Amino acid sequence: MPSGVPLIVFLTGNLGCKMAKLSLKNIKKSFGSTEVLKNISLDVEDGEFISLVGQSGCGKSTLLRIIAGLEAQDAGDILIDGAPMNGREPKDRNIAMVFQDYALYPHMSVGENMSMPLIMARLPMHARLPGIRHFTPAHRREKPGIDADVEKVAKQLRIEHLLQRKPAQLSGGQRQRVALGRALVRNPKVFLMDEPLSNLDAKLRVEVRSEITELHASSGLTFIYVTHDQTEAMTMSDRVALMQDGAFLQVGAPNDLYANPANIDVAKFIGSPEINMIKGAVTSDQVSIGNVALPIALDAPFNGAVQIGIRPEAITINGVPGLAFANQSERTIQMSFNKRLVEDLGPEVLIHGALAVEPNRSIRIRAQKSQNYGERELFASTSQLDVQIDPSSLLFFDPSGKRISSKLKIPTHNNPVELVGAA
Amino acid sequence: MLKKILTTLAMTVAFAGVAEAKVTITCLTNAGHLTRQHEPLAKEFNAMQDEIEVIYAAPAKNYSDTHLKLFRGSATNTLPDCAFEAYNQLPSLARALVKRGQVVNLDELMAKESADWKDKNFTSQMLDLGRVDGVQYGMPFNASVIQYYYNADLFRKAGLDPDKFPTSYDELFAAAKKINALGDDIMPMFQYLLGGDDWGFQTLILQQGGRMMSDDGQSIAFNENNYHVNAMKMARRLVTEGGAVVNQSRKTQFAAFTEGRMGMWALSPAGARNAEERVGEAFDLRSAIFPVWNDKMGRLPTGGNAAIITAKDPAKIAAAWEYLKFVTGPKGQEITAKITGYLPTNKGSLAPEYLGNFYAKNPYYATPSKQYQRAGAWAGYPGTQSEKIWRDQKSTIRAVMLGKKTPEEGAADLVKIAEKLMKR
Amino acid sequence: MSAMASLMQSKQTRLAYMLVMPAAVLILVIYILPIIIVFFVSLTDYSLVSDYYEFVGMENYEKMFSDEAFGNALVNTLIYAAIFLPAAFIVSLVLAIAIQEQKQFRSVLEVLFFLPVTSTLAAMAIVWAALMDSGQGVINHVIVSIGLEKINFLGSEDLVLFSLAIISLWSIIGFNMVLFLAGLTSIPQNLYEAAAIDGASHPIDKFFRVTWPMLGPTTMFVAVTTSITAFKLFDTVAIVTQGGPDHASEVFLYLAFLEGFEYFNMGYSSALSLFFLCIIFTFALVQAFFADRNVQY
Repeated sequence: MPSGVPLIVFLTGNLGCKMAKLSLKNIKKSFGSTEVLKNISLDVEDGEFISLVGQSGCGKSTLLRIIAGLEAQDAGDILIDGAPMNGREPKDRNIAMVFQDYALYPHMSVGENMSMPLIMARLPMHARLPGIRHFTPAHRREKPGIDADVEKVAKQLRIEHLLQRKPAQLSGGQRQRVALGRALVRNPKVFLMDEPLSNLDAKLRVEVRSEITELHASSGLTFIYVTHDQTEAMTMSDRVALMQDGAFLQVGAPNDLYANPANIDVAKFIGSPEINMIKGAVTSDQVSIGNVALPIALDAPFNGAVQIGIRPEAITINGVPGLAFANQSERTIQMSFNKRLVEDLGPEVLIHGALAVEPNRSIRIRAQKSQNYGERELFASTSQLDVQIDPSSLLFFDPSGKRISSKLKIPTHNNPVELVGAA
Repeated sequence: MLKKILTTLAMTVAFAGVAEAKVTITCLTNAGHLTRQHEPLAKEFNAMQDEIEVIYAAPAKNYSDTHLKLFRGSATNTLPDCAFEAYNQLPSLARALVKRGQVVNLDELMAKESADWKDKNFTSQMLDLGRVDGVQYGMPFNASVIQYYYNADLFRKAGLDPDKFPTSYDELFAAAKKINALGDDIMPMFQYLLGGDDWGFQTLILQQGGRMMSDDGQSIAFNENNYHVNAMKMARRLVTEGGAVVNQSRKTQFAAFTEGRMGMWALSPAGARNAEERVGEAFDLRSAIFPVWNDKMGRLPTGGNAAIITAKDPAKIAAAWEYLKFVTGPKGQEITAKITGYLPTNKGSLAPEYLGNFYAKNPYYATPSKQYQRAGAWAGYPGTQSEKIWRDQKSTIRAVMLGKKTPEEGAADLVKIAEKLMKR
Repeated sequence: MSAMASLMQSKQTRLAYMLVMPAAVLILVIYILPIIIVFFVSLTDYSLVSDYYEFVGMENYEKMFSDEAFGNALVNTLIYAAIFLPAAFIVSLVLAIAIQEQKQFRSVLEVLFFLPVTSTLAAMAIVWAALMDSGQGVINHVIVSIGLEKINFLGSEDLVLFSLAIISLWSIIGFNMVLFLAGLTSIPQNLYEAAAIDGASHPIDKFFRVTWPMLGPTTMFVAVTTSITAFKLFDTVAIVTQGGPDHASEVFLYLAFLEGFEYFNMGYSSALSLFFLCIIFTFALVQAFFADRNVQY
């Protein structure tokens, strides 16, 4: 398929109008003594695109397989449109699934791969047996319809010219499309995808990512998408369910997870590069790093150590043209930064180093380049840079990792407070 | 070649520490009951004197294997010094070996013995077994004519007189019927015919007074006087009247006999000791002479083997001759007859001090000596295809026994098979 | 420059030939040369027991096609193969599938079924002959004790090939089963999951849609090696029945043995051997051909 051809050609009419609300209620699963899923509950709305994201081993794939019926939960209920699915076979759940490595049948042509679900659904057993199937009336009756449906989906996916080929003769992207086609042809209510992009190269991945988003939009199906890549989850989903150790850390819209992470793990998982963490302390309401008091305070009293999260893009650099914030706020925190390494990513630069107040914590700064970006100045400058931090972007966590929901009190005086590094 | 080197090496090792003058000779025989008699014979001989040491090569499987091994040894010049070859295969072997000068003419050695030595020890009938084309190549060592073993307990149960074994076939079949009536698991009889070589078939021809081959040994004679048709009729009667079983191996049937589940068993006396050991005290085991059809003319083919000398070195020839004289002498034959049950080939061994007293005390072992005069030739076919002739004839006889062919058809086939393959 | 390169190349070529030589010489001496010799012997009337021989041209081959024993042996071999092949195939495949689904006892069962493969067939044939004995065999005792008629396994013309097939099956099923197990293990699990999603969850569908086609290369290999095993049946015949009763178990290789070593007709036996070689060679070709095609699905 020529690259970049969108999938929006997919007609919703083909799929009909149907409701598919998925509910998970207190799902539990253990393998031996290992508890893989701990009391998972989730409601997925009709037509929603939800991503299950997390590190490998967090239980997201197991959850997907339980939804598919490939694995049985130890406890809990799965409801699709209110109907309990417990104990039902995968084929009776009205779901389709795309596997990580597509799981295409290597001995069948593309056309045969795609007609498999239809053959299983529409032909009785005796008409599926090798040798005699071609002589059965059921086969004669149903075959033209199956072929027509396969062809229709193939056309919509622009793979109709590949129908005679074997999977081994296809490129990665083409196989991906065949896997999608095999899933779509049976007209499912819920579409499950298990890391479908992980076997594609980076360029193709971005391309197919948008195509799947468009497929979701045009089909109106309920999508459950498993990935370990937060970028995929963030870019494609209506909601993201972040999993760790068999439980949801947080479920919400992508930006919600980014801006309001419930705890340190969520903050660390969402956002690339990873959020910078600095140790700090709060005495009554005053925040300090090391022995330097910040010109900010919390709106509720809190005493003790805190972890302060600073997004890499929340720090900006003074003295280098083209890297400063466009609208330099008065209420910024000025700090001294020791530069160690600069990575030029094209539209932006990634600067590694440490804040002078806490030289042992590695800090990354991600700065957008603007037109007059002063590469020479950045590279030529001494290791010491002056940076400023947007205090409103700071995230505070208590020692257990839980977000401190208190708001910042921002000082009202006009001049930014001068901070002197401890070193 | 390698084998020769190894043998030489083994001999050298055997020589070490022994007086230099000692001559070692190697002999070849078959495994099983044949080896069983050779071990004590060699032991006795080696202990008896100091000049000659007899050892045995790894035994051959059976007579045809011995035959084949000797042929191979002849082709590769690795023959043993002496060997024990079946009577029916001796002619073809001797004729081949004599062409290559690999077999010793024993007439010359016998001529050097004292004048009455030959007559004192052997009948000419017995010596004939080892003669080929008028020359003595083999000394008759083991001899056996078929005989009956029977279960006297079953005889009593069936209302038969255990002291009077049938002397004619009609009586035999009548007895078989009575035994058969004893129960489903009791088998009446077995007579050696299909289980191995053609010794059993030759029995059927010779007992009528017939012969297998013409005097020159070049054409068949078993079809004279319809002997072969009569033989086939007899084979069929064995099944229809005698209740003999065709589809069971000899081993299986022998087990039945030794377990007391069969009345009569006809085979070589060579197995007498073996049968006695297997039966033990389980029942009253006896033996009887074979009921011959034509009492005046009837003969029985003599199974067994003759000792030949295949050494070339005069010292070894002389040593081998000493050993042959021992094993075919009265003492040697006494040992053999007691261990196996074979008919002794040496006249002298029937003297009381050798076997005479033993036979008087053990009538079970004496039967061979009672049919001494029946011992006739165990013939072979000219050419190399004896094995194949018999294999094909066996199928024919089997078909006759099972009633798939009439005796007449079968007899005609026997002739056809022999004449076709003999030419090769 | 180019002269240097060509010098290098010829040096490398020479090295390559030298490295290949030991294997080539061995193949020549162990396989090719004997085949050529056997071919020449098959053109003579050479016999183990006579000194002279002469060339008889194709006489031995002509004789083959008028020889009743040859036809009989060929038919026997084919009947035996027709009994042995499907059983060796289906039973071991069913066993492999059954064992593969066992989690707990899989390795124990694998070892158990593989045990006969490790035993010496010649020795086991003797044991089997005793078990199958028509009179006092254990199997017949069992048959009688459940109230059935005794079966004459080895003494009946109609049964003997079945009995021999049972012995051979016993000795080969474990081997085929392990081959199939290896083939089954290499089928990706997610194909079965995809099949389950697609609706092929019935065992019959799973088998015909996934297992069977995915076992293609294994199946071909097993089929060819088992066919060769079937055609080279010899040791059990030589030990248990010696071709009997009445030539009913005289299979091809045993006939070649009989002709060569019992009847001394080496020339004819060589002709038979070459014929046999051609059959085996055909199977090997089939395998090579299909194995190549099967690698790429």
